[in-house]
Amino acid sequence: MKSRRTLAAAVLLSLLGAGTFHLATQSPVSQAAAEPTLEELLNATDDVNRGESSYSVVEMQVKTARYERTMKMEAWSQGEEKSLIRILEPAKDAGTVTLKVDDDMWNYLPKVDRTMKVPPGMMGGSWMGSHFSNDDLVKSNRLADEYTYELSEKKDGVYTITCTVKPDAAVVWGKVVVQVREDLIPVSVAYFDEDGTLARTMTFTDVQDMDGRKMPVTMTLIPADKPEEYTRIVTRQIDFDVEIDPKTFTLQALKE
Amino acid sequence: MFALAWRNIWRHSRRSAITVAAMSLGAAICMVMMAFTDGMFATMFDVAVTQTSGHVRVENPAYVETRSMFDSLPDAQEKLETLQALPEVQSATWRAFGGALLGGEQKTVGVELIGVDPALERKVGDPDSLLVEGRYLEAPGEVVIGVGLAEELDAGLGTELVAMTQASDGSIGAAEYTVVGIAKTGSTARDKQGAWLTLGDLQELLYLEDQVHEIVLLAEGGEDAVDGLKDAAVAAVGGDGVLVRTWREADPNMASMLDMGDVSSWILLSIIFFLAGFGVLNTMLMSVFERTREFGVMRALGMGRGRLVRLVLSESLVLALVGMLIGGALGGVLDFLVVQYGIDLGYGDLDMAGIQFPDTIKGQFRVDRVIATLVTMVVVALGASLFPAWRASQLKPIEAMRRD
Repeated sequence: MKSRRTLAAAVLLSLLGAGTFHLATQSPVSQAAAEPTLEELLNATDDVNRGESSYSVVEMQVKTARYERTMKMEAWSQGEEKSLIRILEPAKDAGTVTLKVDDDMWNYLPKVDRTMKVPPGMMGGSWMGSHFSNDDLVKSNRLADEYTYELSEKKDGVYTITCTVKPDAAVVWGKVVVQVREDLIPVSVAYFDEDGTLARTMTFTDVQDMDGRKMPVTMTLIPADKPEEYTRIVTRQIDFDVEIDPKTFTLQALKE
Repeated sequence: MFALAWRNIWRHSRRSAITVAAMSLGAAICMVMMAFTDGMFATMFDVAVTQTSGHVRVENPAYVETRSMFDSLPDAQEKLETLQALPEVQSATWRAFGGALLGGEQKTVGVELIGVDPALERKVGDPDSLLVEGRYLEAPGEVVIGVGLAEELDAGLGTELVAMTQASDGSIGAAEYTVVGIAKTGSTARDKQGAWLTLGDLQELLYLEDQVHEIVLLAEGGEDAVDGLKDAAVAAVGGDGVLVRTWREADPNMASMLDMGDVSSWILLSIIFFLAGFGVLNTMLMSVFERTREFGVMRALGMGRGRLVRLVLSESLVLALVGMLIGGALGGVLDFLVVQYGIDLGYGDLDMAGIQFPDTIKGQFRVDRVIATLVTMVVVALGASLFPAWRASQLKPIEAMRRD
């Protein structure tokens, strides 16, 4: 089965969890003011944060034709493998927890005090009513591994990189066009279907200093077929390299 | 005339017996085969019509396309009451649908939740008869699940299942239900992914308030009254945002399959009787040939050609009537067995076009099939005798008497 591996996954995860884009600032290459390689640019977008941890508080605004709502949540993450997101607001959903360990995902539902595993067949479904899928949260892989890439344009310090899927890659997008600033801050990512039509666009804005690192705090995902809809994630607080009890990422801890 | 024919038949009792046996066996086989195929198609009809679309279905046209919970039927309460009051409506029910995750910590399956009104559902169909275990819904907090789903979730009676879904306001809907029944509907999809709960429970879970997605009607007067019911329903509740369709319009594939089943029954009947007809033709030709001399004498004694034709036809008619009695009796007994006990095809559960047939398929007795079979038999027997009768009448008495 085809898995919906996207870099949005990594980006979303990292915004909700582990340190974001900080490799960009830590990377000796970028420090050295040398011209970044395409792979570095892609990895910056993918957000490389091996073994890093974080705690963050984010706001997720979802606007669809049917409803508009804002959720506040806090998230802990350990590397790319583990993360835990708890909804703080609105009161109706408060206490709902999503636990991700490797490729598995569970939801804890306070209304019934029960935990549910998300079955493989439902990973493509919407996560918490947003335009992100469950897979976006779970899957984390690198663009540079699954796609062949080439520089399309470099203008005003922004690199435009076109990534074309490798023939045997088990990813859902046929083409991904990434725009990254030369200081390794991503600008936008456009996702195209296998037949080349634009499926969705993610834009990164409001670059701010967060816990000593420069990062875009607002991330907006717009589905191409419903341009009036969007899901926007705004990072309110993020602490990098925090100590997290490993027990946090277990089913037992879900209820607490 | 018939007395003479009767005597002639007994003069060649073995040949007559074989003819009668061929005809009655043909008739009996026809009856059983038709009862069997009718039984199969009755199963399909039940899945497609009684359980699902009813004779006529009223829904939001957008829902047909999107299957989205947001595209509900406007003013459903008012519509249901209006429709229930129509003389063309025998019974009516309403349902709501929603996708959800159902299960627990270990195993969860994506399902289609079907919100039903148990009292109304019992008037439209016979939901109790679909249960292989437990009972049908009675109160909130209960759920009936398909057999395949029960297996997948490792759930039995009394198991608590959690449903999680995205409610219509975007929030997370979650609730816990107790399994009270396990249903085998005959629909492969619903047995694997269907979960029935009370309409109120589903509306609460999805924050649907009082919305439903379809109203399903059965016609007073059955299949034949469907078009009249549709017209009446359109006149009563039709308009913008309301789609009224007969089950044939809602499921043209199923309709053409059922029609094909009907045609195939008639083809089967034709083939069997075509063969039986040849048997009769052969017997009567032989009989006429052997009795050339006899017919010559009769003609010479002044029997008219018309009378001779009638004599031969009478013989066939008598044979056919005897065959009809024996075949009808034999077929009746076999029909009874097929209807009562069914035929085990030995395939295990047979899945065809999304319909899960039980391993033992039970026949269905239809009087029109029996009458058609027996009448066809008589007509074929007479038809097959026309040529031998004509041959007999064309004999020249002198030549015929010279033969021995």
